[in-house]
Amino acid sequence: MLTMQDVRKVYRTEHVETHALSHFSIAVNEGEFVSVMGPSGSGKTTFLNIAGLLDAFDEGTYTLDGVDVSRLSDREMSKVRNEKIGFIFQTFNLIPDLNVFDNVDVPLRYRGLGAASRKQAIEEALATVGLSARYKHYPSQLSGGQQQRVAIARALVGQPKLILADEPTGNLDSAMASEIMDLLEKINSSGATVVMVTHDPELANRASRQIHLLDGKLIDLAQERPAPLYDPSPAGQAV
Amino acid sequence: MEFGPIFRSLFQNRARTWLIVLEIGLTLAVVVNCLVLIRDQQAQIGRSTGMDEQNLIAVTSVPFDPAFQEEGYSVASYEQDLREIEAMPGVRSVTSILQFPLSGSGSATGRRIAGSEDQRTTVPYFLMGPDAIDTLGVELVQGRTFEPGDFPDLHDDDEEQAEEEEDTDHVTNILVTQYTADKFFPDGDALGKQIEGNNNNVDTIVGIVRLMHNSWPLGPDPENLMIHPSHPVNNRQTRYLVRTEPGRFDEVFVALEPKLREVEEGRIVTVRSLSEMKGNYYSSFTSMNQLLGWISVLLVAVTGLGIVGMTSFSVTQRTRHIGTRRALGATRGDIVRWFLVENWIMTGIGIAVGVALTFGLNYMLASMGGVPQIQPPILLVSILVMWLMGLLAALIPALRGSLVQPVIATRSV
Amino acid sequence: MLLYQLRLALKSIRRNPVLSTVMVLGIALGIAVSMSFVSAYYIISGDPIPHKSDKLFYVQLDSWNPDNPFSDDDPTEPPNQLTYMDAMALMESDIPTYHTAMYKTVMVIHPPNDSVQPTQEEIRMCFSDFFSLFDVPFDYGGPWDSAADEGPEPVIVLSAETNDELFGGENSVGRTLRLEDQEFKVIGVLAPWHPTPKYYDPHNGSFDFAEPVFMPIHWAREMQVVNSGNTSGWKPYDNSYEGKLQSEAVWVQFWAQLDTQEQEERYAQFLTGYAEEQRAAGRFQRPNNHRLRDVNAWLEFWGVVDPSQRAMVIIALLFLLVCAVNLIGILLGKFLSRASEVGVRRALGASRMWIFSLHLVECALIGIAGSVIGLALSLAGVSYIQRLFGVQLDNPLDMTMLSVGIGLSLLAALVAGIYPAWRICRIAPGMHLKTQ
Repeated sequence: MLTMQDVRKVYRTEHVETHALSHFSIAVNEGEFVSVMGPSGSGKTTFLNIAGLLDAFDEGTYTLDGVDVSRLSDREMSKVRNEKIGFIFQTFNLIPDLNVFDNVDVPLRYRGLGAASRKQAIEEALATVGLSARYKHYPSQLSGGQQQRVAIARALVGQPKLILADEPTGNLDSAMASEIMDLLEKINSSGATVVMVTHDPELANRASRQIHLLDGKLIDLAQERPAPLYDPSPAGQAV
Repeated sequence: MEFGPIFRSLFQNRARTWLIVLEIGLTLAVVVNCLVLIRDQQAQIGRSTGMDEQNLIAVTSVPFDPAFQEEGYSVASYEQDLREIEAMPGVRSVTSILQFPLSGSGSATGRRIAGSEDQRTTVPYFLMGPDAIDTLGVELVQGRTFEPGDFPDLHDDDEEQAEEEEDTDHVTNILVTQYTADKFFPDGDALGKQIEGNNNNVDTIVGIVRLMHNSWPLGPDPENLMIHPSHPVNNRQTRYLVRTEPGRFDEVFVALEPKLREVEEGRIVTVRSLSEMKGNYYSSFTSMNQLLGWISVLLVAVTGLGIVGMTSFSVTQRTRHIGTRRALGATRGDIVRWFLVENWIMTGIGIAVGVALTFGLNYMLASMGGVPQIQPPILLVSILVMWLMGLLAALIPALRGSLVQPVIATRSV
Repeated sequence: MLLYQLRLALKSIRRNPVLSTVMVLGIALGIAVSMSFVSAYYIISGDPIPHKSDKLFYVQLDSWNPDNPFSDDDPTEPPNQLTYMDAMALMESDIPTYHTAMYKTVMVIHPPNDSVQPTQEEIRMCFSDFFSLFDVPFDYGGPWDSAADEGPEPVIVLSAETNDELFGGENSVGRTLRLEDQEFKVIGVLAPWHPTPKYYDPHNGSFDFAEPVFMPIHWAREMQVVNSGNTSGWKPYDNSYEGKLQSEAVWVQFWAQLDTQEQEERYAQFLTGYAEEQRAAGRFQRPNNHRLRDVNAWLEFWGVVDPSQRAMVIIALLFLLVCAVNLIGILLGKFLSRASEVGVRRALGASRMWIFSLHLVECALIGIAGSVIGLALSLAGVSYIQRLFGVQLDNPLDMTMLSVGIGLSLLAALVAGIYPAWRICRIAPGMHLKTQ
């Protein structure tokens, strides 16, 4: 589904070069539910931005769904984002001027579908997240969990093959977070590939594969089982 | 396009939307009413005066040489002036006149149908010398122009001829405009009929001019006019009207003063074009039109800049939403289009409100007596201009908005 | 605290230099356009001589044709000028504090420098009271005394502009000037004087300049010079010069200064008595119908103010309104675009009132900048309007208008700022903290 080979991303300011990703390679298979963990500044968000074609990278290749998307034009990238990828953000990013229905409608609008088929897709997506009754509400009238469920509906309404979630539960309490995870699992089981960045090891464990990032490099727990990041001294375990 | 969501989102930002709507509406109302005023005044300036104004030159001669006070001197000089001007190359014809048309100063007197007991009505008149009709370039529709026999004898007593205004028991052959002819004789049989002044001085209408303006084109009836045959010469000032051959105006215009001073040194000679005198007469109109024009231009500019400003802030405020949209697959074009459509809707409502305000303002100003009715073409053109202006004003910030990177969406704080 | 707010507001204004310029220029334009129009209107429609306009009276008598009223439009209206005979007869009265008969004529002036061509200029023929009646200011010399009203001294008063032109602006009192065939001695030179409108004689141009030369009225008779203004007649007369003076034609204006109610009443009686006397002698066959109109009533009767000028003022005020709406819109956008910053301030303890006043301070700054530029533009605007309409004003923008202008622009900016400031001060503390 998603293959990155030797991807490098450097942020430059006047005096400093920050290597957000260096010689980064990863392969995610279709239907996987991958969780990405790592401390702040380890390159999680950079990885997700590049995976979602939100940001360009300096070196390497990136193949998405069998297509090399390394050097697409802005217009082509917009099309890929719209048709193949669904985003879920930590801060929901609903558009406050639009009501629930119109928010979920946004990606479909860029696809040029007829009104009837859009309406059907939106209703299905809202039903999936359990918010059918609230389609006329504005984001400010919803709780955080409800807002994130709208965002999920918006992410899956276009039936993307890949769902990218950036700390989708970061702004939610644990009960709501769990609900959101249930939803993501449900989406995954219906065929979509899910890549989720998170801080929470418990949530990360619910994914089918966990990867760790450190200083812009990948540490794949499923394959390598590297040394723990902290010192698991007997003394520490004894506590 | 996505009218529905844009429409609903506009009403989430009610204050901003209504301010733009109100501003566009007021601007349209003011601009249309200014344009209607300008148009109306231009039309008045531009209407036909009946005369060949482009080729007419007004000459005033004010003698100061004591010789002019001598018996017969003024008359001799007058006759010589007419001969010399006539002979100048490029001059088609010349006549004398007591007061110039379109100048704002003239004479008027009371007239009624001869022998009737009607109230006299005021009729402006010109005292003009031979060749009057050909020099003015007006069109004679009935009867004849002046003949030598119509004029009083120039070599009688000077004074009396010059001020031959209300001579008693005297029949004069005169010309009138169609307007004045119809005023006295609505059945169209004015030719040959007589009208009378205060002391049984009677005028016989021998010719009718299709159209000619009197000295007060902005007065209540600019076409009300009669022309009396006369030699309006006296020892204080004499005026001539010169008509040039087409295309030779400039040449004659510069040659006139030297020529007349060559004929007679001891006088002040003033040469002005009739177009200039007309311009002076209408100068308050031209000035006002200039002011109204400036107001309209400035107003549209202020509103345009205002829309640029308001849209810019709305772009800044929505940077994150734009990023999100981009993340969800919107192309740059989609973003620009979103802002433009949003603006078109606001401009559209603004114009609808503006049309109502336009008529309201027009009604108010008209009731004060200052403004003519709205002409639909002016309204339509103004609407078009406002719409284009709204579009252009929104385009700049919209293009800036489209440069927002999609990655903004994932940035926190 | 205010200083801190001032600093913040300045910073915020500097942050968007282009839009701040648009806001300041917008309000400045609004002020300039409305101020220039209102002050132009105020001048043309205002009182040209406020301290005594209610004491100066334009005199009309009904000497007209018994068969026809003077005016077709208003049959009750007496002629708008007097006959020469009547005007001279009224000069015999000793009731008014000052009074003058007068009319306008043209004469050929021979400049003192022979190389300059003679010119034809307008001359106001009047009595010496003219200058006291209308408070005409002098730079050099003064009016002729009342003895000179009857002659034989040939004296004239020049306007400041004429003196500049003929004598290079120096004190020309005592110099001589030839008008037509007569040598005149300059006895006084006026300071610049531009009564606007030209209320003492609005015939043939209510906004014309005052005449360049003033001359005792009897000289016209001496030199046989006819008037150059309006003459209206109804009874034929002998076409000689004396014939016109003895005729029933009206062409002379007459003003009287009546300081007290009592004077006014006595003068009215005098006019009635004069009319009856004339009627007995066979003239004045219409009903008694004199008019004593003070300056403002006279100007209103003349209709000096055109309705379209009133329309212009409304349009100018609407211009200001659009500028204000414009300002509200931009301020609202600007304030709301920094909602997150305000959210932080609120979270850190700023009160609603504090946020509100912070934003009003910013509006006031914009208002002050706008009013300064706006006033400069107004001056340019007024002089543009003057040039455009060929009007010369002695005092185009007085202190009242100036303070009204400053007040108006500050008020406009503050009023425009109230709604946006109110909106922004209601931002909840900490709002936008998470999402931006």
